[in-house]
Amino acid sequence: MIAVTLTVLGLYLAFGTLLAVLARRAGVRSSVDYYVAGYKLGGFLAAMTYAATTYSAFMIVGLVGFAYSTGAGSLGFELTYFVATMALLTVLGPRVWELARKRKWVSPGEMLSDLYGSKAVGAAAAILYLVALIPYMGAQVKGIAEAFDSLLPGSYTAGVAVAVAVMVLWTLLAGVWSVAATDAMQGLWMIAASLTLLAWLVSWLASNGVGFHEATTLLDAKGLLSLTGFWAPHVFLGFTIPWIFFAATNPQVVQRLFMPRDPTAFRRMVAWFAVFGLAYTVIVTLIGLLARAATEAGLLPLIKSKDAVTPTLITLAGPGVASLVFTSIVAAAVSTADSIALSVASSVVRDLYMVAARRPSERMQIAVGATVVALLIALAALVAVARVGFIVALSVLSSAILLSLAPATLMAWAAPGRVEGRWPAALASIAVGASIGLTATAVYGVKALTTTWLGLPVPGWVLVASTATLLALYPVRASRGAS
Amino acid sequence: MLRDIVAGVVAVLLMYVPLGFRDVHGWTLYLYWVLVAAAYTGYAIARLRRGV
Repeated sequence: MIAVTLTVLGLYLAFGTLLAVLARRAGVRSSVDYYVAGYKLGGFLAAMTYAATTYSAFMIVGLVGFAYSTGAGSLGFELTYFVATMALLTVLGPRVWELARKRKWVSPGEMLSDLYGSKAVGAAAAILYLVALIPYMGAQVKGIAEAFDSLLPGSYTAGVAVAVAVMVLWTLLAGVWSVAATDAMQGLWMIAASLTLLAWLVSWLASNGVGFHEATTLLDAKGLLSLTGFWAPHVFLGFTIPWIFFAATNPQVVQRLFMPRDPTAFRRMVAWFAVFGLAYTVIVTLIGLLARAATEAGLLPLIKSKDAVTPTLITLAGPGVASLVFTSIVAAAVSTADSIALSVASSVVRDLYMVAARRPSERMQIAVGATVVALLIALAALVAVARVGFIVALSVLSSAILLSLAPATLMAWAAPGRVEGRWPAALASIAVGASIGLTATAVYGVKALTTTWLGLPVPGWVLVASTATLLALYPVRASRGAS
Repeated sequence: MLRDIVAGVVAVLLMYVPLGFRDVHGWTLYLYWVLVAAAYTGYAIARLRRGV
């Protein structure tokens, strides 16, 4: 099985690298080409890169394990994110797309600077991206390393090395063009592999006498089809609040709103993302629940580590299924991590470096961005090697810190003309929310998500405090360009 | 615009309704969440096509 899996992985890496090299034909001449594809992405490519960037190793490793251990509540948690994202993409997405090309935004920080009329807002956002997204990228590298370790015990570090090499190569070859091209392949691979794993699991259960009715009875007996004790209201809120605003706070997805070439491409991006997201969430949670039914039926031992459920299934499936799923874990993690690295790099270049440097050339901007990409991926590798937290918690924790950007971003998207000059309110709002999020993270670690103060989970306080600060200082208007 | 904002907020709030009905059996809870998400997705795509 190991030989087959490594062969399929090798083919996947070779084909992905070929795609990334071919993507160079798009012609990367400027930082606009490098970071936002010159605003020329077609609908399907835009959809696949949005979906593959959004759905990471968190899904096929993290959510499978989450559904396995906490039951159907994990579906509610993930679909709450999905519904909120659809609402943001529908109500405010078209406006953001239109403004982005009119005002030539490249980085999400630049968007905030432009709307509020101060480069300090973009700089604050860029610093926050740097701090918050390293754990999320670390979770992706960890996903790949865990999969390697399950396939070949003791190969965790080798998995980290492979992850780093692929992420750096596919990002640097042609910027977002190579990322989008490989994302399209990876997105299709992810959905095909998850469907194959589900089909194998259903047939494996059936061949062992566990049909749909038996699985339902077994899961029901353990209360896994209702809200288990894990999903106390404050836990559900703590996990969902950061992700409701994911589409507005995470730079790698905000930046994807800038890229479709026309309104039709934008609509296609949202529609295809919707189909992908809903289907993938249902498939992945069903895999987790059915794996748990296998445990309850005595076919599988109880898997205590949430992140070990998918790797355990892989070892049971035949080499064909195993190699497909194993590679899809790599695909999901790589497609998310390289998009984040590129997006954060664009913010560092446009919102920090360009503010400090005197008229940097386009070539210099791309070179600095490439260096930042390599550094970010190296830091993510260190997080993975340290094995801090499990994948779901690491992923949601990043969004909890980024949550402080939500009120200022949504206010600017809803009333772009009216927020100009109100940068003191935006800056204070981001600073207050981020301080709470970072302090809670420093004190409680990954448990910051579910820790409550006066009955409200920490992410709730981040949102309330940053919103209250924004509204309190909203009447203060300073001149444009001041910082 | 207002109609779409209200629809989006209502759809998100509907995802939290099961917190008040914890003791359900079979696939009811699972199907509820899938149906709410699918219904809102259909609405959102239709609105986007017409130009929100």
